[in-house]
Parts: sequence; structure tokens; C-alpha cells
Amino acid sequence: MSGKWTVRFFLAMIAVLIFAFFSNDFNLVNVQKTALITALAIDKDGDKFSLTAIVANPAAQGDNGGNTSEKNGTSGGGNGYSTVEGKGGTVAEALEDVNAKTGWYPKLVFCRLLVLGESFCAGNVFDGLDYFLRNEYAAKDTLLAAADGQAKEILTAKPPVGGAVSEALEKVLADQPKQVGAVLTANLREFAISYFSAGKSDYIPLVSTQKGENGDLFQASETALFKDGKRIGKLTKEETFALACVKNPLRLASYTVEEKGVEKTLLIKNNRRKIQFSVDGDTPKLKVELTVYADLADKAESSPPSDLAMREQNTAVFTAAATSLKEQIEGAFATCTSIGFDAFDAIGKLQKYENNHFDEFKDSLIERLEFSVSVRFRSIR
Amino acid sequence: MKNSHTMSATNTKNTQINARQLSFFCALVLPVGKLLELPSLLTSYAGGDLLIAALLGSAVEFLAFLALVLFAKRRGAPIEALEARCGKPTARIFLGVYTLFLLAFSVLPLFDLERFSHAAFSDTSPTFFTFTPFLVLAGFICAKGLKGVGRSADLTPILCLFPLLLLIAMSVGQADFSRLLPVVEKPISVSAKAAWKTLPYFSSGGLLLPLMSGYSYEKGDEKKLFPAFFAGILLLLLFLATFFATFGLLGETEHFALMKIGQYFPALRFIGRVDLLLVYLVTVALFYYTALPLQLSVECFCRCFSIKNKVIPSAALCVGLYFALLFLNKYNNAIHAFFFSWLPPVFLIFSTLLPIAFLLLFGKKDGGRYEMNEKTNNHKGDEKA
Repeated sequence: MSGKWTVRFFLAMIAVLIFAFFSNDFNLVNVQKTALITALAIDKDGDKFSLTAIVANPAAQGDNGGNTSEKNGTSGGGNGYSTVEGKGGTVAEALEDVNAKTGWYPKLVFCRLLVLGESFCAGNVFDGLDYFLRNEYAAKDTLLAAADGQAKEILTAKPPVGGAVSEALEKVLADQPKQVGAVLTANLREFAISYFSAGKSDYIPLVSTQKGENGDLFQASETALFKDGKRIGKLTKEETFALACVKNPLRLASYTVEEKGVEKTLLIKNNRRKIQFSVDGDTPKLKVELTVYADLADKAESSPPSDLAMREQNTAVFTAAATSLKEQIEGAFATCTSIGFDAFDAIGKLQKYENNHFDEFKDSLIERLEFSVSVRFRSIR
Repeated sequence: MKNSHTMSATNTKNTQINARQLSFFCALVLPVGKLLELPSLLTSYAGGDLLIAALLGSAVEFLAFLALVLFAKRRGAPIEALEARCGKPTARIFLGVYTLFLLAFSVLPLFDLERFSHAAFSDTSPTFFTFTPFLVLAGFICAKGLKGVGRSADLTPILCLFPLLLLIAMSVGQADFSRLLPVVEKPISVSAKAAWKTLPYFSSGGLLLPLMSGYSYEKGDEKKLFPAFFAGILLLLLFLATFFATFGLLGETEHFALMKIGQYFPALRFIGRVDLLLVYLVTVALFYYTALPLQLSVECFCRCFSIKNKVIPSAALCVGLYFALLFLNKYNNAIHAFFFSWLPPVFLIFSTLLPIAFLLLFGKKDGGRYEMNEKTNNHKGDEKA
């Protein structure tokens, strides 16, 4: 008898639930509320945060891809993308301004890129980036990029191929440029972890635009250096590559060196990196050992068939490349040290591997660090 | 007087959970309940020493488990022993008080699961009503007997083990395990304090004590049970290590570690969040874990008041929980603060000291065995279980 009542009870509950579910207007979603933010540029205007959002919104058939009136502070981005600006005392308020101007409430879960303007980076960037760490729905693997000048100008540039600016920028900041050492990429999660760690030093690629024939071309070969959330310096293209050789695994990167007055380009197949930290008495030491597996890809002058056959090792080129790269790594390290930037997370290594010396060295480690680097190029044949 | 106590009259064993099922329960269901808020809490309280804190908490849990297994080996079921030795009124008072403890035990997992299910499976803030199906399911589970617990445990290798290992494997590529160094960075008192504050999560002894009424020890069972319990601890430590290696000190902000840990796997950017399928499978096991203290509280309540039909108490409990969640889910922080500041001693007493007390008081090697009596303790709901 009770079994029958159990079944009836649960059938009644199921009926109530179905009724309640379908009384919610079948949970229809307003099509305007399917808008997505794909990229954000953050600038500082005095005390206010100025946000520029690239919003992807569904476009009706025959529509001109989402162009909206400029009087609302929006402009057409073409092909279903709009650029919208907002201002506020906090990033959240600025985002709400964006929502209020358009009537959309775009989701942040697909925001894959944050561009930080120079004015924003002059202060602690986490004054604004905290919003994304608090927000449960914001992606933490969002790519970060810094800009000289206004970040807004980066996002309002016109890519040559069409499509959204954010897509063009993501190609420049993606894994492929990272693997060839062209860009030191950064994402919000790793950047935040470094900010909260002992060293507090990290980097963000510096994006710039170049006017091309059909549109603006993006470059991210320079790197902005941050300490305690504030931008303190930058690395040149060569210094960026040198640091990338040590920090990241490379794959099919190219390296050009001059040997006997002739420019020669090596194709780096991969690299083996070893960074050792130790404390020897009163001296903290950081030793970098880099082995690069490469092959000669091209020369600036023509070569006979015997050379093209690649049967002999190019010892001289490899030696020249090793010397050149070693100098570049030392130069990059010196640039970092001069501004107090912990290029190889020495403070973090001190905490992990020599914790008993941490209190003694943590405040003066960068100045006292004895740095040595050895670079070796080896043929892959 | 020799054998002054009387055993529960029993001629037949009532094994509703066997050693295999109990092993799966210890190895997979108990750790799963610790994968939501506990990783971020341990990071907040202990930083990089979260593994030490987890080990200390697990050690306290193991003491309870050891006491219960030894008791089961020597004398059988603890509650039946109490009834036989101290009489039915004492046993009923105990069951009544234990019902209240189990309801308190269920609060944290319930609130965590409610928030987790909204955060994991909705991309905007959904209404509370979307959690109602769980309460209906919990009502169904509560009306069932202890056999259902065993059967649920049999499903956990598919629901828990492979998805969890896959989630951990997906996150290993993005994890930097050197973040766990140094192994012991802070004084041990910091880890001990962290373990103490999070003791409500390390209190599985409180669930196992009434569960032992459905378990009958057979020779050699400890060879399955203890390795299973240690495997559960290892799984938890592996998960915590991977979590901290992925997030470092930022882990303090990452609530619901289960849904966060695998999301940075590179392929997900192109194929979408397929890791949520694995999370969903583990969530089913989480349902069992969250429903278990509710089920056991109904079991204890019905035994206390000799109620044979569990349907009405189950339904009343779930309706009560619905309104409790509806009004109290805005006070999550206050509830967590209350549990971690004031209730660790309560959990220690019921989950660890009580099993040890049972072993010391009633668990001497001589004497007969106490088993659940099919004639007196079986409930109508159990016939269909």
C-alpha cells in the first residue's frame, strides 16, 4: 500500500515541477541578451576607468552586421561586432555603463582579451583587474596585452583581413608566436599568481599597430615589465626573444646571427632549459644553462651544393650564435635588474628551494644575485 | 555477572552493505565531498601547506574509521550494541540526538552543492528553483534503506574514479607543482589550525557510525577497507596538489575547485567545455554524498520513534529543507563562519570521539556480536530496497 502512495507522491511532484518549469515562459531568452564581450580595453581617465568593449551580437539577416547609432556611444565593428565605451569609478560601474548605453547585458564568459592602456598601467593594474578575479563567470585564462598610449586605439583599429579586432589580436598573442619566441604571452591567471607570489614580477606583451595598405597590422614583439602590479619598464624585440629562449619551450623559431660578415639564419627546432638557484655562503647565485637544437636555414649569400647538402656541422655559426644569444640574455637580465624586475623568478626560487635563507635575502636579492648563463647550440643532425 | 548485557535477539545477519561497497564508499564517495569548497578554504587558511592540513584532517578521520572497523570486527554494529547494553530508551535518546547531528552535518554539503550546481551548470545566476530536483531526488533516496547506499557505492568507480583522474590529467599540463614547495613553509600550528577549522569536512566518522548498522564484518574485510580508505586520502591529496599547482595562492578565490581544475586544458578552447561532462558525472556521486546524511537522519529518526513508513518523514524533511535553503542561502558566509568557528568541537565529538568511545566501552573482544535485527529493526521501506 505504501509503495503505491510513494509512486503517487512522486508522480504528483513531477507534475508540479513540470508545471512550474513551463510556466517560466518556456525560459525564452531575449535575443539581445545573447550578446558577448570578446575583448575589453581598459584605460584610466583621471580617477575613472574607461572601458572599450568589443561586443559580438547576433545580427538579423540583411542587417549590416550590427552597426548601431553613434549617439549611444557605440560604433559599428562590422560583421556582427560593435565597439562600445563606458566610464565609471570601478570597472564594474564602467561595464554597467556599457550595458546601459546599449540595452545589452553581454556575458563576460567569452571575453578572451584584455588590453591595458598606458594610463591604466601607471597605477596598480589590479585596481581594475580584481573585478575579473571576483567575477565567477569571467574566464581566468583571458589573454593580457599592454599598449603604449590608449588601449582603446588598439581595439578600434581596423584589421586588414576583416572580422573582429579581437580575433586578429588573439592570433598575434596565441601559442604559435609564443613557440617561436616572438611574443612573451601572458594570461590573467598566471599574471595574478605572480602578483600574489613573493617575487611580484611578471610581464605582459606590448601591442602596437602599424598602418598597412588594407588595414592596421598588429605587433607584440616588445614586452612590458610589471612589478607589484605597476608597469616599470619594457624589453625590446631582441631582449624579448632572449628571455623567451630561457623561459619557454621553442619550436621552429628562427635566429639570425652575423658570422664572418654574412647574415645567417638558424632554425631552432627546440631548446632545453635549466635554471638553477643556490645560495653559496652570502651569495645567491642564478645559473642558466641553455641548449638550443638548431640547423642552418639560410644565408644572405649563395652557397655551393656541398653546403646546401648540409652534411657538415656549422660549428662556426653555432659558436657565433651561442655567443650572440648569451650576450642578449645577459643584456636582457641587466635591463631587468636595473629596474628591479625579477626576470627569472629568483625570489620565488629562493622561497621554494632555499627557504631558510628567504628572510635574509628577499629584500635585496635582485641586487646581490650573481648571474651566469651558458648557451650551447647543437645541430639536430 | 557474566554477560550481563543482552544481545539484540538476532538469528540472521542483515548485511545491506558489503565490504566491497563500503570500500568504494570510503575510497571515492568520501573524498568527493571534499572537492568543492575545501581546496579554496585550505589555501586560505594554510597557503602552500594545505597538504599538511589535509593530512592532519584525514588522520583524525582515520582514527574514527579504525575504531569503527575494529568494533565491527569484534562486536558488530555500534548502535545495536548501545541498545543491547544500555536499553532501548538510551538508544532512542542517542538516535534522537544523532538525528540532529546528522541534520547539522548535512548543512555544509547541501549549501555547497546548491551554489556549485548553479555556478557549474548555468552561465548566469539562475533562480533557486533550479535546485528543487535535487531535493525531490533526496526525498526519494531518504525513503530507501541502507541497501541503496551500497548500490550507489557500486556505481562510483564509473561516476567518480575515471572522471576525477581525467580531470586531474587535463590540468597537469597547466600546473606548476613547484608551487607546492617548500613542503613545510609555515609552522605546523598553522596547518593544525586549518585542519581544526575545516574539521566539519573531515568528519566522515559521523556518517559511518550509523552506516555500520547495515554492515556485517567478514574475515579479511580489513584488507579491503583500510587500503580503500588510504586510497581515498591519496585521491584527495592528489587533487589538492594539482589544484594548488594550477592556482597557487590565487586558489583562495577559486570556489568549487571541481569545476575549475580542468578548464585550462588547451583543447577546450576549440571543442568547448567538455570537462563539464566529467564534472557532471562526479556531481552525481556528490548527490549521493549530500543525500547520505539526510538519509541517515531519516533512518535514525524512524528508529528513534519506531516509525515504519519513511515516506512521510522523508517528504517532510525535504519540504523543510526547501524552505530552509530558500531563506538561508543568502547567508552562506555566516553559516560557513559559524561552522568553522563554533562547531569543530561538536564534529570532533560525534565523528571521532564517539566511535572511539564505542570501541573502548563496548568493543572488548570477549562477548557476542550485535547485529541489526531483521524482525525488530527492519522498516517497510527496506523491503523494497
